[in-house]
Amino acid sequence: MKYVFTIILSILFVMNLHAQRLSFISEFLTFELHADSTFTTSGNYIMKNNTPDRDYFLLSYPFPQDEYMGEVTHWDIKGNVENVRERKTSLGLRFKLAPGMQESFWATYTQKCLADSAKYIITTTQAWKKPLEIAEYTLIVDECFKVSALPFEPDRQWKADGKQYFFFHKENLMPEKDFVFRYEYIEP
Amino acid sequence: MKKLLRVFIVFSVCLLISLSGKSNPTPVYGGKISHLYFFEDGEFFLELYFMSLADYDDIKIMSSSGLTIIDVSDVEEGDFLIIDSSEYPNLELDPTDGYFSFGDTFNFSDNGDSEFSIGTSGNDDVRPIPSGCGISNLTYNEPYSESKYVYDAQVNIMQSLPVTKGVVKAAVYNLQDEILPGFIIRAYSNVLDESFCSSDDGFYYLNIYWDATMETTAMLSNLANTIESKAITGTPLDTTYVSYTYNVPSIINFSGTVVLEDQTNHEGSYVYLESYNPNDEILYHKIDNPDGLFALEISSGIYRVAYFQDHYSPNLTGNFLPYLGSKNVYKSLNTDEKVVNLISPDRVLDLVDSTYYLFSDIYVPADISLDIYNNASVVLPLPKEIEVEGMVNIIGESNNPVSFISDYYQSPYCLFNVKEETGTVFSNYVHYEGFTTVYSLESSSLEVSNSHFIDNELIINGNGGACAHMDNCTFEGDNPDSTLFVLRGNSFAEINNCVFENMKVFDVYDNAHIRFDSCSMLNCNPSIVWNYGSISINYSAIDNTTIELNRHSKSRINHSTFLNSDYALHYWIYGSNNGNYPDTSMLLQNSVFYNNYHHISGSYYGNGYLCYNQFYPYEEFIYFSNATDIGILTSVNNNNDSCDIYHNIFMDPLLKDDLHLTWNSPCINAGDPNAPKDPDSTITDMGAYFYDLTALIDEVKRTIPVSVNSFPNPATEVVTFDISHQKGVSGTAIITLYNLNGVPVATNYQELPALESITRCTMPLQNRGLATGVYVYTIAIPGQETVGGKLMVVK
Repeated sequence: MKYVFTIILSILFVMNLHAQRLSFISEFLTFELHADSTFTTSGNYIMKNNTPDRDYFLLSYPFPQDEYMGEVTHWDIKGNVENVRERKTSLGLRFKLAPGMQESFWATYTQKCLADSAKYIITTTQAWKKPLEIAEYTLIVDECFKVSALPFEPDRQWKADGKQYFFFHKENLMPEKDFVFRYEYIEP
Repeated sequence: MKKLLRVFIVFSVCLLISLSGKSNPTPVYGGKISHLYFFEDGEFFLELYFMSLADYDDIKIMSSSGLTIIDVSDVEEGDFLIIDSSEYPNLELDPTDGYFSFGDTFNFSDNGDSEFSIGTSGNDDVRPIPSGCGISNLTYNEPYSESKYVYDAQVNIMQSLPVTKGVVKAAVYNLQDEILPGFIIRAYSNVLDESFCSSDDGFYYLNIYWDATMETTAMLSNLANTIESKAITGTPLDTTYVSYTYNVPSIINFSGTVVLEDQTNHEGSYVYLESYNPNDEILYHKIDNPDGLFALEISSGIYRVAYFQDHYSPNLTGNFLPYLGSKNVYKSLNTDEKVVNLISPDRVLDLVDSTYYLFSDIYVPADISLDIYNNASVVLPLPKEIEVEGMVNIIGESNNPVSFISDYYQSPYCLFNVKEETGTVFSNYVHYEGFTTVYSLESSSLEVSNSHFIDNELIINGNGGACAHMDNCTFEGDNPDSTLFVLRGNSFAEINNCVFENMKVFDVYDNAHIRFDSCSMLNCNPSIVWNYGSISINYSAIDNTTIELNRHSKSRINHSTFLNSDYALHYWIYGSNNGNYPDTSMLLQNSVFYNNYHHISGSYYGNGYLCYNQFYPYEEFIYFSNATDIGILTSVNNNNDSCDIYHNIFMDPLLKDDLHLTWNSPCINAGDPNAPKDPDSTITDMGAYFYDLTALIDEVKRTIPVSVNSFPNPATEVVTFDISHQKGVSGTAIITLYNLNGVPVATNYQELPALESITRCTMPLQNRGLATGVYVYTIAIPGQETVGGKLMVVK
């Protein structure tokens, strides 16, 4: 089996903002590996505006695109995002957030997996200089794949509707290792 | 004491004079760069924070080179301004020196026009803008040091050259001192910029800007040959004038031979001469020499020449060319093509199944019918028109359409000039290509169906009560700025089942009316109704296209879908007086507005009757002086969804890619209950396409009912869902919580054990950024009906 690391950057927001003006509170994400090897990341990112006087921020939402992850075939952003600009490998977001308030935006994108492992980088949380208060990940993998390694012990897991479900709940997450899962195709 | 007082007064006066003699303290109006963000493709956002503006609310921000000036109005202290590099391509940052640190302060110099500069160095009042060098692109933590981040001052170097301006004035005369048209002047070598124009005085003018340290050359030419060229030298920063005069003989001998390639019947060909001067008559010279010889004396000038004979392909020279001396030609006509009929002034035939070249205008009088049938192809190599006061029937078939093709693009002209109430054109399965105007209608009528228009500028130019009907037509065009339908003077056009893409569709005014039924417009330039024009749009899809409804217009829009536009419907105003225009009105009902930056926007107030529509995302409407409560959600509609008192809803319409509604769309049965029922016999839906509930009912009948109970409601920290289902139902329930803008704010997955009939699922609400308010949840189980409800969240 090939072991290749696929980078799935879901929230490597660029924080060249003044430190702590914006806090990254939590994320609730679903990763789904479909039978056609496309991979969809979707979910909510919760931010907090720590300033008393401004209501928007600029963020970059980069898509991993390398020898392991193919071109993004679909993306969507919903929530208080005033302006979205599509770029070659990222989205530029103008994110609206009332002063002192905590809100979320929802994002999804789909890519073709070019290899048979995946790594979700969560060590970038350290760039925010603060742990995620809560992180919940649901990994859904089509039954045509066998999951051979997971980064954490799932809190729950089950099979239904021809899919495998793995649920992870983490609090105060400031990991030193990234979230890696590996899979292989099961010949029918 | 008096002396002491006098000394004090004198001292005080001196002190005051002294103080007033100094310059007043210069107010420092400032801001700072609060954020600079680089994207990996080199573009960037520059965010400025305005800290102090004194009395100014309109400022200019100028790059150091002066090439980029950004006007900012209505700015207040504490505002942020984002400058997006993609909108200002000249504004780039300098990588060559210095480092940037956030929070650098920039002052507005008080130079009278409240400008401050970005990037100016060496000025104590204005700190140099940080350079790109050393700025870390924090996305990837890679320094930006590539040379592509150039400072736009480098572009400005060109303007620092000793530029000079030259004006070349030229004219070409014949011996009668008449100025001949058809020439141009160009300059080459060391030219920075040039602009050419011809003037009413008959002269040609060329303005040249070139590097005055060197020489440039101006060239007088026609399209084929250089007549004269001349080197020009200039004085830096001064204007140099150059003048040409060129004389030619007034009469030339034009002779030649026109033969048929198969060597049969050289006699009977025509020489066609069309002068560049539209006031000159066109010359048709019939060759009566059996050897095809001809000899003519013609005035010097610019001509386009054609040679033709009935039943054979003509020989065309195409462009206008100068005929300034003796000219002798030899032309042979291709006889390979079997039958090519020519339409000449003395010959109007019914046309069928052949190619026809139109070499002259055709007049169809009031009591005459011109019929054009299957497979006929009419080619117009010249700007000729068919003037119709009678009737023209153009009847093609789907597999054998009639076609009209223009080979002439150089000046405006019209294919069908249809006049008087007797003038009528019927067109079915016809292909029109390359015309400046296809139909000019004056009090006349037109019926067009199943026809294809490609690369035409104007399809219908209607006036004087003209009437047009168009069904099932398609349009293609290269020019997105050309307007397809221009209607005025009580004209009327009804357009059904037509598709428009990348063009400007209509301009309607002066008591004219246009109506669209079941049409679609995609990526079109803004179309306009104004000055007592009116429009109806029904069952149509308007995608990324703005409809402008200007003052004194009336619009009636029903069952249509508007999406992906900056402004879907735009009230606009000419002139400077914003005001209330009660004779401007909009009746908008049963329609869907989705993903527009503004659904309805404008700059003045009229009457609006908006009911039973869907708008998403939410937008506040302020342009209707008669109904200021549009958009205030105080009621619920037939589907129990929140709505305003006019039954407008503000939820995601859940459209498919083809703009049809999905089965769970809130637009289903949300239209006006008093409107005619949909074909599925239910209350009418919103939008261009109705959802056939009979198909859904069949689907639902096959599913096992599922219900859900949520508690507590209102909820604060956690909500629990009890999902009731029949035993044997298993799978994974997807529980999604949406806000009222349709944005999913939380999702959970819950396995359903097959042996249970109730499954409990909890969803924490903390740390999800949820504000107090009403939310909607759905629970989807594969193969089952999706159920849902509303949840009140209290923080």
